[in-house]
Amino acid sequence: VTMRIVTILYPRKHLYWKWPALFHLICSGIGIGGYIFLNFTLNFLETIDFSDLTTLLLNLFLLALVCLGFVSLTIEAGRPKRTLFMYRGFFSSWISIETFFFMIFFASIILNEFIKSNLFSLIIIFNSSLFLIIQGLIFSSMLGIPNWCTKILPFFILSSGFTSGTGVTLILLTFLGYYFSLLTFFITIAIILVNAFIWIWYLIILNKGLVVGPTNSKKNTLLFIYTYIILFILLFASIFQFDFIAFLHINFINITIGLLILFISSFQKYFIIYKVSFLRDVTLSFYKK
Amino acid sequence: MPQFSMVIDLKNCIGCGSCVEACHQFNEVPPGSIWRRVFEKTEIDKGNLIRFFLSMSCMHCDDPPCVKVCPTKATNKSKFGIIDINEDLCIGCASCVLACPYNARSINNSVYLKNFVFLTNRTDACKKLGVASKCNFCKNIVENGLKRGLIPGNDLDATPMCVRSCIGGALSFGDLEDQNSYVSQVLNKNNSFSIMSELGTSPNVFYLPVL
Repeated sequence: VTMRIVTILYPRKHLYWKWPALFHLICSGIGIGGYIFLNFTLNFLETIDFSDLTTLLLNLFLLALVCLGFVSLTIEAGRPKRTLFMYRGFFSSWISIETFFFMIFFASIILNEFIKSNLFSLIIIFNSSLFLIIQGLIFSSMLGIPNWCTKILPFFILSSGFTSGTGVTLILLTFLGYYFSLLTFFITIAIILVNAFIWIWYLIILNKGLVVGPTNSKKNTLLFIYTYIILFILLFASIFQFDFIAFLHINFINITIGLLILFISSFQKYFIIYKVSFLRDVTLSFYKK
Repeated sequence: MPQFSMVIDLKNCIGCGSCVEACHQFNEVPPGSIWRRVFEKTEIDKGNLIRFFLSMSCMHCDDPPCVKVCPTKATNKSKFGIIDINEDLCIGCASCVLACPYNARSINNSVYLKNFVFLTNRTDACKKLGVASKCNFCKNIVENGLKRGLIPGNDLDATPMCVRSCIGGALSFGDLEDQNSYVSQVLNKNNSFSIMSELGTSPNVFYLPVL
């Protein structure tokens, strides 16, 4: 038996899920990841004692980002006023499940202000991680886009969320005048390394079964490498306290690290939404005896 | 339960496009939306140049990826095995468009439809504004025909418009579960294939090969 494949439709760009989807991914990644980093690393590992008002404001800021990301999704819908219909069928699709987890996330952040318990914080962290994974599952369930339809994508969205959350927390807390212990920096390095590892793994998968190559792939790879190199130099500079550009009592190295981390995670998401989202090619397979 | 399906004989398709015209005319498909398309391909087989046409629409899969991703259950599989969209529930999120590997779905152009409603005062067209649309095997015709005791595929009044309008006799329609139906008999007698069945969607549109 011989097989013959005839291509009917070649891979092509699509019109949907552009900047609102990117905005949603970036905002919810920063919001959820930031919340996890703030509550886990700093609550459990740091000795920083936040005042209640600071914690409340930070949490509300991160929650507002997640809400903003959700609202942005409705912009692209053909019938935005019908968005509430998503609450009709919980668990009917990954988008519905994400909506459900968003509600839990929203409620738990509010409740966490009243229930000050480590166990409750751990439950929220677990729930938030699932929330990020489900966002990835929405993309990986899109059978029409082979570059999204991979099992690694949910883990990438999770790691990217952690990374962007780390970045935004570093920026916010540095502005508020807090300094971090070595342990926090090592956790930051570990998060970035895991993210880089998953990202490279995803790119390898893409290169194996890629239908159409992303444009300027060499340029993008070099951009990533240079950003990572600068990031690690700055991270080690911060660990060894080479505070060579510190003035006005603000640690500019930490802010630069945070901004670079945000740039990396946002660019990765941009790459997924804009550069590799090609519709599947339609082929005929003739089997002949 | 019946499972309506379509068989397209590639040898008989002459690429006239009447199926596309009949479909788009009857279902009032707005510009930019695609329910049915005809592709032209030229291949070389054993030294012979073979030109063939492929009429393609929604595959009405047994395991449809579009149904799994719909957040409002607007896309559903009817009791006749037809995948349909409830226009009153669809939010136009386009997740079904991206989930369909056959590129058989699109979101209706709101600008055109708004002008259409304004010029013709056809307020019923408002339902289609900004929602997903695709081939539904002319569900209204099939269901009304069944109510009248007609057999879709055999009786023209219960058969989708594309099948009715096919001048080459390439398209046939019927119940796959009924062993006496024309489509069942054609599939039993001939080798057939479905498009990208390796994805596990189990399409219900079958093709008789030309090569």
